[in-house]
Amino acid sequence: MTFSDINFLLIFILIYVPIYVLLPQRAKPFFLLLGSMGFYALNDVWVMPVLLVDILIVFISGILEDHFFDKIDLRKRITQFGIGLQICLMVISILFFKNHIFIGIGFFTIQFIGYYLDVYKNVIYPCKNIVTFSNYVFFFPKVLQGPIVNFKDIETDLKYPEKVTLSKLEKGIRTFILGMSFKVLLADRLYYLWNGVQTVGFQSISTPLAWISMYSYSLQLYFDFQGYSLMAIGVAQMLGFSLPVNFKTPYLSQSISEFYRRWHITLGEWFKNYIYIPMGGSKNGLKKTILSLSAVWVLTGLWHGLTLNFMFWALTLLLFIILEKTLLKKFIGAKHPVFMVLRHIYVLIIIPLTWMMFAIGNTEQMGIFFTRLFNLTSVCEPLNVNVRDYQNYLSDYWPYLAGAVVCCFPFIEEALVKTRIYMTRFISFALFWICVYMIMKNGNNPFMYINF
Amino acid sequence: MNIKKILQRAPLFAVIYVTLFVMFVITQFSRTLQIYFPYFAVQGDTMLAGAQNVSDSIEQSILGPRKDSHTVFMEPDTTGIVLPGDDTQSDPSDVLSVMDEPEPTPIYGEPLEDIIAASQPATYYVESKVDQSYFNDAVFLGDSRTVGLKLYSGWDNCDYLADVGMTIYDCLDRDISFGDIEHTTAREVLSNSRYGKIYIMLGINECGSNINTYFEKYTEVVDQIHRWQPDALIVVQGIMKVGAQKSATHPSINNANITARNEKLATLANDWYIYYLDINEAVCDENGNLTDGYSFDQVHLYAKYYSLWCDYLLEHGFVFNGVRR
Repeated sequence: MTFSDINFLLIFILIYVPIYVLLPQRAKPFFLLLGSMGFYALNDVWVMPVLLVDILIVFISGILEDHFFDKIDLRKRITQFGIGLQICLMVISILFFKNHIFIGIGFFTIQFIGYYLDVYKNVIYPCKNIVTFSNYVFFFPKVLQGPIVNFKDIETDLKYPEKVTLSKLEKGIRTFILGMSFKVLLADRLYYLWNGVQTVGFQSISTPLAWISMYSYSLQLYFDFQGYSLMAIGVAQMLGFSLPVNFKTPYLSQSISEFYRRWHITLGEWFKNYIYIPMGGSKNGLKKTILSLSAVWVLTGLWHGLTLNFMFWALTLLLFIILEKTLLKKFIGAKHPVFMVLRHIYVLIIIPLTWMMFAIGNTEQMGIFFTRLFNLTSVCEPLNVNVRDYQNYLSDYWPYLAGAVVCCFPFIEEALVKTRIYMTRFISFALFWICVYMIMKNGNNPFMYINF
Repeated sequence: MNIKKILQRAPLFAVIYVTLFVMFVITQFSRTLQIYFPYFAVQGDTMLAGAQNVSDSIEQSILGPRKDSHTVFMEPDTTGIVLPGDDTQSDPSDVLSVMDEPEPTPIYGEPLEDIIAASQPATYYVESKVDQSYFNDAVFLGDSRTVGLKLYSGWDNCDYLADVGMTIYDCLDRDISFGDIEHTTAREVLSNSRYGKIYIMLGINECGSNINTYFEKYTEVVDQIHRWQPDALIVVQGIMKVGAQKSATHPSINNANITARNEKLATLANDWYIYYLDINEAVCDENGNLTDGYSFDQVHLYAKYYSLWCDYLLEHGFVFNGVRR
């Protein structure tokens, strides 16, 4: 069950929120934990025991570190053991449970490792309340696919939940509706374009269709993930919590490194804080910078999956980011408006191309797709191509593509979430019912990032 | 109080809460809304079944009671010509036993045989290898797979009445595009033009529905098409199977179900104007599943493999062999 499931909407809005709002402050953490565990169990009940044991291990390690505060050696051992265990668990779950995805394992691992390191470095006090800690792990708006939250950022809220007011509820539901619209009205529609292209087979698509599908996939991935993130933020807001923003209009970036500062921000921040800066970061010369960047990107690739295509994806991005720091430095820094336009074009060509490596798991198929993209008929002979196929797809999908392009700019979000006039209220209300109608009519697709 | 003030005072959450609640309560009681919003209903499936019955009864009130398909598709008189798979020829005792039985109540005033003989030049066809020009007067009726055939067969000399998600239940009245016409229906096209061959493949989207209802509806559609196109040859194509993995995991879209349906469809063939073709011979592996690697989603062929389907149809054309009477 995900946020764009009609059962979730019914149970959450009709039953859960009113009860949560009316409960006394002291009971709220317990009710939150109940809801969160129920939500996770509905998604995947079979890994719950493993997860509960895992939480207990991390929780007890924290307590032990607190108890043996003076014994640095022992604490180091505990931290190393804990982090090793988390990584093992993640690798095992990816390698051996291929058909049965351990939902959210990537996000759990990253948050646990962050917690271990923070405790070890005395950035935070270890959590001594199992309910608070379980709430941190299971917190249902973020449990499936982020945003990744540091324990220190959410601790106070979890211990002493804020009072929910009608205006907060309103803000939450606005954010939620915007996210739901992104997911249901854009990402789920564009899904069928990419799916259609895969069904036809990459060997039989025309070059224009290859480009269209590439951009369509890029938009789909963004609105799917951004839609989820906004829904998560909205759900959390309705309960009085604030979660960090995950995307800041990434497709308007002017360089690859800027793109990844604005795309999946919480993951980028995590890698920056726990890998990049400890390894030397950008302040200790070019060699150290390149080394830390390589570590970050190799790990990012591994985190997304242990297949070759994610490695290609991560290494290509690493290459461009290093180039931007060295050879392309002048191009990135140039102030002339012409360069600004050129940089936008550069980002909007390179990023979608790298998404294709991200999207196509089979390396051979990926190769075929690239030959169609650049029409390299000598490398791979196209078979049975319908030369007018892109016209069919464009005539079917142009409203969604156009809508998605418009929504890449920030003003839609500003209008629907931040402006409180009756007009935008009415639009939000209408969008809500359109989405509900679409979900009922078409069923819903799972979120794309749920596999990580 | 004007609407502006109401909207400004009532927070969005409250409005959505109230409407959602009202909607939920109404749908628990209202039948019509349950059909459009089945998810709200407590017993979604029974409601849908109910909806099907409603549309059936409406249809019956318009078209009159459904005719018994077996009286319409009367076995042809086979004197003189021996056809492959013709049971009546091989075992004369069967004919006798049929004659012993009481005659079925005729629906029409005069014997059906006479009406057919008077109105239609009954013809026989034999299977034979053909070339693409054979499809000059053909039309393909079907779902997304036939849409694929339209896009990737490379045959532009025939017509296609195909739409993604088409089912036997809505195939005649579904809003589809046809050539340059943006909105039309198969009913419109088939009742206003003249075709020599009508190829049908429908059934993958109906796998979840009852097999008998499906077959009855199929019979009805074929019957209807025959009334519009009395001279046309109707080729019922067996439903193309799905990949092994899909077949093993899906509750209804699986090859056992498809085979059961195909067996029923095969009985429609009357060796006269309805013939049955099973293209699975061309696309399936030895286990009877859609060959691994022929499809991305295990349901639709990759564009490059549509040639297998096309070649099979060319191998198994039906060629006019002689007038019956």
